[in-house]
Amino acid sequence: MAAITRLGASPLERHKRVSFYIFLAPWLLGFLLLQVVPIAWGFVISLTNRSAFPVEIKFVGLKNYITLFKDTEVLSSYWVSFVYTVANTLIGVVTGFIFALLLDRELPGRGFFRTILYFPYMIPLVAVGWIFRIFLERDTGFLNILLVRLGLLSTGVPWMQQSPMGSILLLSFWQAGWSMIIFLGALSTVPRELYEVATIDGAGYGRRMRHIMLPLISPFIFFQLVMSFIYAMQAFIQPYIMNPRVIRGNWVMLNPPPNDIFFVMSRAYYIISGQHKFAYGMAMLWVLFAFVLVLTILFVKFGGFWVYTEADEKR
Amino acid sequence: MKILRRLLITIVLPLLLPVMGHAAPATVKFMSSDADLPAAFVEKFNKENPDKITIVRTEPDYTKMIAEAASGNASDLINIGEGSDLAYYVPRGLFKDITSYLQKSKVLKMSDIDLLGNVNYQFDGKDFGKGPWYGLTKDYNNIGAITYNKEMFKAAGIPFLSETVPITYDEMYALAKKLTKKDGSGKVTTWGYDIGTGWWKFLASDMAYMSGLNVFKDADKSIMNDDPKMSKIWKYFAQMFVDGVVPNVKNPAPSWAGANFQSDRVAIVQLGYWFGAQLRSNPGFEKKYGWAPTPVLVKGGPRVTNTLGATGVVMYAKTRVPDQAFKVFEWYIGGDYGRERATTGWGIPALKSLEPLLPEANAYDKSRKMIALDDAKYFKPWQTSGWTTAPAWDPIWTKNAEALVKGEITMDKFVDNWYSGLNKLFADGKAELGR
Repeated sequence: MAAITRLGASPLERHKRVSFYIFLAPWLLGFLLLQVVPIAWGFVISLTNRSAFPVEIKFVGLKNYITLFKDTEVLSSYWVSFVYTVANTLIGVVTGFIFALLLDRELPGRGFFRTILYFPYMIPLVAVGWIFRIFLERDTGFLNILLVRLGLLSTGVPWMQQSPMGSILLLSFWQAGWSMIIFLGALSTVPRELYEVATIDGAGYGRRMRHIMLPLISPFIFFQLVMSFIYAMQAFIQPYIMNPRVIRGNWVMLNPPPNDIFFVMSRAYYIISGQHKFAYGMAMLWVLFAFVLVLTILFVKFGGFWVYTEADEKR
Repeated sequence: MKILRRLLITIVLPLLLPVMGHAAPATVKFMSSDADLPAAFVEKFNKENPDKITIVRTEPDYTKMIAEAASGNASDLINIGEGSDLAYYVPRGLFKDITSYLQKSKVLKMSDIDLLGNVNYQFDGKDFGKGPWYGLTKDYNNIGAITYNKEMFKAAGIPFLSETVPITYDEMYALAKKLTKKDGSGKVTTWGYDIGTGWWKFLASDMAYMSGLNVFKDADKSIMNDDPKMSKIWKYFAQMFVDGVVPNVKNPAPSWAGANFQSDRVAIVQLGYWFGAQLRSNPGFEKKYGWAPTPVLVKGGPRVTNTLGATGVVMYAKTRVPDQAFKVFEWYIGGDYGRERATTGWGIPALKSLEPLLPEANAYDKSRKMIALDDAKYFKPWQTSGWTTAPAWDPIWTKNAEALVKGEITMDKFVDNWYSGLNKLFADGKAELGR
């Protein structure tokens, strides 16, 4: 029946369909040519011995993938990325949520503080990295100068060298502005009457938060957790900019950071560009893609039991 | 009428295209830092060649270069950090043989090329200094030459170094230790010595020559020489990190050796002649800094120094504008800019005829020039392997040196890891070429 309807579509209907596809075409074309084809091509390359300057390209099957799972340094990169992702996600979501709670109130200067807290998110990550690099420097960094002047330290501490991961995670606080905006939006969707009713019934702030606010904004929290996870697993530039080793001008990307912060994307980039092993680097990226995909699916499928939804009620 | 118009377009347009193409100036992309290719000179060149060639400087990003080369679209001229990397890139077909251009050139005469400094730009697929030419150095340096801070020497009661008689590496180590200052908490405030990132391999090569050793075990240069005498040389540099006479992971410096020296954090560096030009930006540089020749292993023993392969310019193999690119190359090496660079003393020029232009108006310039030309008599190309690039050596060292300083591995383990890491790199490079 549906097929007959399609065949017998009116000129207006056909016009609508053609228009739809014409409007969709530029994006679809771009998506196919600039996303799908390179990604698929990357997979094909990962099955070969392709280097930057190949003499003879051979199909090697899953050899790169097998090597990868025996490569302790590469495996450590996946682990380091995962650890960073968990910490970064928690910092981003919790900090953003606290900021949002504070700024959801009717306070003087609320707009100003919202702007100030969101502002760091607008600064490119590379610049933020350099700001922190200078901020944390042992002898000339503001943090050490301040702590020494306050008498909290007797001498400057090489923070980046002593705690490379901690230094990078500081950047996560700066990026909490994004989470804050999402949560401010989320909080605005909670009907005020519910709070009023609960207050009349004697519920304190904690109970109102636990029984009204958190359930109602749980879809937003879930969204933030999933998106932060996906983005953080793909963190790339932070280890290069916050590299505790000496970095110099144009050699930044050729100077790999220590294993403690050598994220999987950063290492794959180094393997591709610094060591010229295209195929091996592509295999690393495909494993990362599979890892993120599987974890996201599992998270969405099994991790969402606490997320409030009206779907059941509607059904 | 319609057919006639189409016919005209079909026939006339293709005929016009070459003429139109001819009228447009050819663009030569030149990958170089602004310091090595200043905008003012590019502007001048472009103004003087409005209808023929336009130089467009591209940022020196070697990872980008790899990506561009992989897609067949790298810059036409490339400023390459170490000429010795030609041994890696030439077998991979990245650079163009420019021998025929050099033979015909009226600006760059073959007889004028300083063979000593340009040795790494001539490569026959196996050895340097033989076979086709792929480029020329922009200038070269005696990278082992010492620059020291006279004020720090004075404060420590150490006499200034001789400009003619080299000290030994052991003497330099002792000086570095004496000049390293710590505060009450053990934090190093001034380091006695600092080494350019990765330069240990260049200096170790000199020391190996002086000891009659080879860095590699085999003629193929694919296995590191694990002879205890060679290991001792590597340990010399590793020990510097352990002793903290150079910045290390426990006592890091804010920048690289040259900048640390310029900011009075370091007393001695081995960077070479070019660094003298860099120091001109420091007030009182003429009196503040002293120069000494590249150290030796044994007093009165053999002298060796190298150029680290010398930074220079090569032509991309797939350039679409080789003739124009060579014109720019000529201008860069031997033209206005080449001459200007020689007069500022950033390095010994690639052409012998430009050498008299090196500055020597004051004692400072005279001293560093005299030392550079004296050291140059003892140049030997650093012992590199064509199975990998020079920068690829460094992460292996850095990673293990950090573990050594932290006490996670022993010195012997450090050397083992250094050898095995490099051997793996060489094996990968061989496999890449199917050998």
